[in-house]
Amino acid sequence: MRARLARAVLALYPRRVRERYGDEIAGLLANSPRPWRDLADVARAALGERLSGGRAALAQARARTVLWHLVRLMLMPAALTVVLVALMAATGPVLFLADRWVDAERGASVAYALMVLPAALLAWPAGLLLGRSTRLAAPWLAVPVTLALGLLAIAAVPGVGMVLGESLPGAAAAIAVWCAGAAALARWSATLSRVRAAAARVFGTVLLLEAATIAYVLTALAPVRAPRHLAAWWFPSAISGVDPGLVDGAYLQLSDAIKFLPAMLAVCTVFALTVTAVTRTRPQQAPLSA
Amino acid sequence: MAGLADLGRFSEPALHILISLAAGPRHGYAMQDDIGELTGARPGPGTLYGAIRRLEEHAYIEALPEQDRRKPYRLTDAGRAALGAELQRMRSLAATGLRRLAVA
Repeated sequence: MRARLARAVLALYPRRVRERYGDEIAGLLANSPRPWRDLADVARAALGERLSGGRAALAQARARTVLWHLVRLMLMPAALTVVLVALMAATGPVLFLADRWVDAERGASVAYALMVLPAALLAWPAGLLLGRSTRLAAPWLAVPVTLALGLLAIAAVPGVGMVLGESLPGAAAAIAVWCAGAAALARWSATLSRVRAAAARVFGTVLLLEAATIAYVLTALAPVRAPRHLAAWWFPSAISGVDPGLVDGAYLQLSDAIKFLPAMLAVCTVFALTVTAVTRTRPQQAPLSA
Repeated sequence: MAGLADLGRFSEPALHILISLAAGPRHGYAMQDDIGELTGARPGPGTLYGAIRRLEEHAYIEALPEQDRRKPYRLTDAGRAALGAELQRMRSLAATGLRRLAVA
């Protein structure tokens, strides 16, 4: 009877503990001078082990979930780049039909620039969807940093990475500025009322993209190619496709150098601010007791 | 070194085990007897092996090859250092407490 009870109590231990110490504990129980007290002690310890093991498993599961959320976020810049490029490609037939009335190069430049709007409109529900199913600590920081890493990964791919600018150091500088600004904007706008937050996000986004574009040009292009006194016009020109000759004094040289980087950063800003606005903060985990 | 405080509710039985093993390797039953004599309360097997598991994880003790179907454990160098530090801390605490009691 006591042996059966001892086996039942030992079965309460997590398997790895039972396999390691089960025989030794069973030996002590068999020779115990106070068997009932010791059985109760083993039962209590086994349940404690089970609980602490459960907590560790829960912590591991949570870590895996957070990692999965971060991976999804990191892949988003690639997905958004594909969407943007697909939208730009979709303007081809329209440009072909309009060829008779519009200069092909200028028309394409403006049409591509306009595609930022539908891409941003798609980024918004994607951000809502992803943000609502995401739980992260400090999303205001985690989201921009993760997206920035995704953008850097794209920029670093030889050939394809040129979609985010001809110069990798320039793209890296712009992405770093964007990341810091997006984090600050997300943090600050979260403290404001709904209307003020919306206004702050719109104006903040413009300033942020302006700063990122300037960072790119300052890093990638020498003053002789891109006169610094025109810096304030670099972003409006790059995002609109309207280029009065800000680089090399020639038409579309700025777009040639910076490619789709401002457009991608604009789309990523919409996505990042949407995600951070709706992502639930993961509660701080209490340390596991021994 | 993090010390025995790391072991949470097992820190006291862990200290008793380390003191028991300071005299030489022992198996679980011998530890129970020794701790019973030292403290007046024989630890239950669940409490004893809960502490043994944590002490092994911290590499304060290690298992020796089985003898007569019983597995002895011995103190490691890290365990000896942790025990020394804990006893010093206790001595200093006790000295302060006793001094204050005497003053009061």
